[in-house]
Amino acid sequence: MRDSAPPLLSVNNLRVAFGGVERVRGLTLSIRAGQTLGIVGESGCGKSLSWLAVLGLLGDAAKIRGSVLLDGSEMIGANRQTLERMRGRRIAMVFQDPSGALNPMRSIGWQIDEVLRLHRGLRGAAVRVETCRLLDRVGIPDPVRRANAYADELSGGQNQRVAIAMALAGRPELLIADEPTTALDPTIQAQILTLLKDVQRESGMAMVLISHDLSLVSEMCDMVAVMYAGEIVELASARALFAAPAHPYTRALLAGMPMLDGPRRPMVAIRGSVPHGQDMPPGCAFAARCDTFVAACARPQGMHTVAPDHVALCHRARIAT
Amino acid sequence: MEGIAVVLPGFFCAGIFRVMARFIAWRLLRAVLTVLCVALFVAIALRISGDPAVIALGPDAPAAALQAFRAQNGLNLPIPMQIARQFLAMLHGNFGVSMMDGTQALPLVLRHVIPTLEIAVPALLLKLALGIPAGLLAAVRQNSWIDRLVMAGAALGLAVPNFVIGVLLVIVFAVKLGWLPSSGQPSFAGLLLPVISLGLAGAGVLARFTRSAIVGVLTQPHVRAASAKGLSRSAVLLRHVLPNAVATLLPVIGLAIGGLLAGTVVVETLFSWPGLGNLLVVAVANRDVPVVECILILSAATMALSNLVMDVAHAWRDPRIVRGRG
Repeated sequence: MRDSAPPLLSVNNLRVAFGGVERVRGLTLSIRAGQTLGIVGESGCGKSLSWLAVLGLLGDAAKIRGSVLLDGSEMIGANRQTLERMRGRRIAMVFQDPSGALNPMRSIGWQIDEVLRLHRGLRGAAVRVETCRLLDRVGIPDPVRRANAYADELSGGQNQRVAIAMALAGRPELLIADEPTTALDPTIQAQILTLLKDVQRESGMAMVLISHDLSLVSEMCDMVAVMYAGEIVELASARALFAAPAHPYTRALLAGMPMLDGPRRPMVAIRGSVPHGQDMPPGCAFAARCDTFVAACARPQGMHTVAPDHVALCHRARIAT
Repeated sequence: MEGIAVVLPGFFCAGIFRVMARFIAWRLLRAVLTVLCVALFVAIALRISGDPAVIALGPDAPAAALQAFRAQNGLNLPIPMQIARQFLAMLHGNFGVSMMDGTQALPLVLRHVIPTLEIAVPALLLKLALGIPAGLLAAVRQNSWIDRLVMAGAALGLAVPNFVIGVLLVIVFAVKLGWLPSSGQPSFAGLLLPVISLGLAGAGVLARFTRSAIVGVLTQPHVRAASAKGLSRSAVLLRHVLPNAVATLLPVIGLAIGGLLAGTVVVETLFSWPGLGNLLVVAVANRDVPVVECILILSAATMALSNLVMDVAHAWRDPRIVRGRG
C-alpha cells in the first residue's frame, strides 16, 4: 500500500437521493489497485446503494451528485455507452442475492459465455472451455455438465460461486462484492476467499467487500469504511480500526461481534434505530443512540484525523483513543 | 409419447427427454379430459333445455310426427343412453345428422370453418402485430406519454365490445363513406371490417398483458445484473427481458389462438359472415343438437390443443416448468 500510487477509483462527496430523501450523504473514499476495501454497517445504511450508484445502475428515480473518478475519468453523468464499456470489464459486481441475479431461463454457462464474448472477445469453442475453467476455479464440481444447468437446479451457495465466476470472467480491475460469501458454508467460504486473494495477487484487482461479517472484513481487507445512515463515520486501515476503533458506532459494532477466542461476555445490541429522511438530526446521526452523548454532538460534525490513515466523524475521536 | 418428445429440439440429455415426454403425456391427458367434460356438459345442457322435435316441427305438429322425429334422431331413449350412444358414435367420427338439413353434421361444420379462419387468422395476426409492440414500447417508456397513449387505447379496446367497434366501422366506412361492403363478402374488401373489429379489441388486451409482463421482468434483479455485466440496453432487453416476458405471454397468446374458432360469433352475426359463428347461432336457435355439439367440441378441442402446445412451448423455453412436475 503505497500512498504515492494514484488511486484506481476515487469517490468524492457522492450523494444519492430518492424523492428528495438523501440515502447516501456524501461518500468520500479512494481505492488503489490491488487494495481491498471493506464496507461495514447496519442494513439500510447505504452500503450497496453507493456502489449501484457508482455503476450507474439505479435508474432515473435516483438523483446522484458528486464525483466518481475511475483512473481520472468522471463516471457520474457519463453517457450510457461510456458506462456500458466500463461495467463488467473494468468494474464488476457480485450481487447480494446470487440466485436472483441469474437469469432463470438461461443456463449458467450461457450467462458466463455472454461475458466472455463481450469483454474477452472469445469466440467458438474457446468460450465454453474458459467458462468451464472459471466454474472449476470457483469450485463447481463437474463444470462441463453443470454449465448446462439452470440457477434453480443449483444451491444458493453454488449460484453465489457462479455469480463470482461471472464477475471474474471480464477480468475486472475492481470487483464490488456485496456479501459474496453469506450463502456459503465455511469450507467453501474459505475456498472462495482464497480464490479472490489469488486473483488479486495475480492481476492486481482491487476489491470492495461489502459485508456484515466483521471477522471476514478484518481478515480480508486493507482498509475498512464504517458506514452509518448514508455516510462514512470511520475510515481506517483494518488493523487500526479493529485495534483502536475511534467512533462510538464502530465501537458498538465491534462490541456486538461475538468472539470465539477472547473472554466470554454478553452480546451487546445497539439500542434504537438508524434515523431516516426528516428524522435526520443536524448534528451527529448516531447521537440519539450514543452512550457518550454530549451537547457538542448536536452540532454538525466534521472528519477528525485520529492517526495517519485513520479518520472518524466524531468530535470526541481524539479523546477516545 | 416418447416419440413426440424425441423430435423436440433443445434437449440433449436423455433424462430431460423422459421428463419432457411424461410432461407432454400428462398435459395431453388433461386436454382430452377437458374436451370430454365440455362434450358431456353440452350434451346434457342441450337435451334438458328444450325439445328439438317441437322446435324442428313446430308447436302444432301432430304427436305421431313428433314421435317419429324423436325415434329417427334417437331422442326417445333416456338421456344417459342417448349420450352414451352419441359418444360411441363420435369416437368413430360420426357426430350425427343435422336436424335442419339432414346432412352429416361434421362435414357441414367443417365447411364453415374455412370462412371463420379467413377472418380469425388475420385478426389474430393483427392482434399480435399491434398488441405486442405497443405493450413493449409502453413498458420500456414507462410513465411517458407513449405509455399513457398505449394504455388509454388498450383500455378503450378492452372496454368497448367488438360489436360496437364493428357497428361504428360499418357506419363510417360502409354507410357514410361507402368505401367497404358492410356484410357477407368473401373478398379482400369484405374481410377488412370484420378483421379490424375483431383485431382491435384483442390488441388492447394483448398490449396490457405485454406491458405488465415486461414491467414485471424489468424489476427482477437479474436484469440489473445483466446491465452490470456491461451489456447494452438493447442487448439486455432482447437477450434477457423479452425471453422471460414471452414465457408469461405464451398462455395469453395460447388463449387467443385457442379462441380462433369460438371468438367470432358476434362479429360474424354482425357482418352476416357465413362462418362457424353464424352456423352456431342458427343451430342453437333450432336446437340442432348434433351441429351445436360438433361446433362446441371442435372449439373446445382447438382451445385445449392450443393450450397444450403453449404449455409445451413454455416448458421448452423455461425448463423449470417440466422439472416442477417431474
